[in-house]
Amino acid sequence: MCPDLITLSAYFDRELTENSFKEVESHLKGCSFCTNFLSRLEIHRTGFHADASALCLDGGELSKFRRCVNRARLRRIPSVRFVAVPLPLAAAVLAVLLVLTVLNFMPIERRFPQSARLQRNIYPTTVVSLSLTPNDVENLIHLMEGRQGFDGHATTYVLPAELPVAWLGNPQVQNAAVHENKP
Amino acid sequence: MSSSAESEAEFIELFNGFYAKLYRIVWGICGQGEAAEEICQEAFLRYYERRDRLPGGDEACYWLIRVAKNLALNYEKRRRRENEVYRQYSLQASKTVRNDGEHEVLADESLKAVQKALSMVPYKLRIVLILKEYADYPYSAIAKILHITENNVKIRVFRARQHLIKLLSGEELYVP
Repeated sequence: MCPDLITLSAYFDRELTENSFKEVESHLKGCSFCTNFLSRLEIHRTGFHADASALCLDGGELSKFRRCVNRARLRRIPSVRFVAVPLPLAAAVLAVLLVLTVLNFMPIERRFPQSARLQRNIYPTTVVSLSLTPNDVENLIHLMEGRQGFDGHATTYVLPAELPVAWLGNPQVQNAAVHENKP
Repeated sequence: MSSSAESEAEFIELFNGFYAKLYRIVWGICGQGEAAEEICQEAFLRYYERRDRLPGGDEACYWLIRVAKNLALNYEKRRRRENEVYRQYSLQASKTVRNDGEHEVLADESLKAVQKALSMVPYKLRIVLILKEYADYPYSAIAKILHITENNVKIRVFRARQHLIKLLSGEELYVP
């Protein structure tokens, strides 16, 4: 009589006692049904072993594990967890403020060298110095008042050469009083 | 050597000696390489953090298997909710199969058939068979890991095999 299939399965795994193992072994010599059952199990086992041996590990598992431990440690530190977002944010804001402050105190020529050069080209610096004594000014005003015309036209005055003033171009003086006194 | 250095050395020894076996077991449960790796790392991390309070040797391995088994089971439950098409794709894409030349196609087909059949065996039976076939544990060790009796292990292994025989009856497995 055939042993039950549970016993055959245990025989296949070599989990029977010595006596039971020998009994099954002697039975198998003349039983094709049990032999077929065991050969099926053997095929499956070969498949499992091939399946397991096909799994390849790259050998860097320990170093990966170390990284995993470090990440876990960082995650579990409460202070790190609480400042994980606000701290980088505050650092970024401070960095922006610092850059703006530095730019604010930097001369404009250093900040924008190209535009500073353009400004110098458009507006060349000219220095004009003029020195008059109070008497000279009074003489000049007296002279100009004495030569006022009554024709209503603008009058160009030529200053006398003896006046100690620097010549600034061709000044034209319109005298509004002329219009007021016109008949 | 200080006790912490000793503990560290013991852990490294355990890691190097047991990682591959645990990986095979977890891979047998969840069938996905990347997930199996993550689960193994997480199980070892949990052991590493509690290693002073946990036993060493074989008991450490059993503890790791229990933790990894639960993590893999949770992963499987999450994944079951996902699209079946995506699952099949990830099964094929993530598995690294060694190229052994001319029999590669046949062997690959057989591996897929075995893996597929195994994934269809009910979990309670499957985990016993995985521990037997992928990790080669005796019934007594499996009983300790799963907190069941040896007789129960014997019955579950047999029932799992019955399922497999039914599922693989139409398949022609390649035997190298």
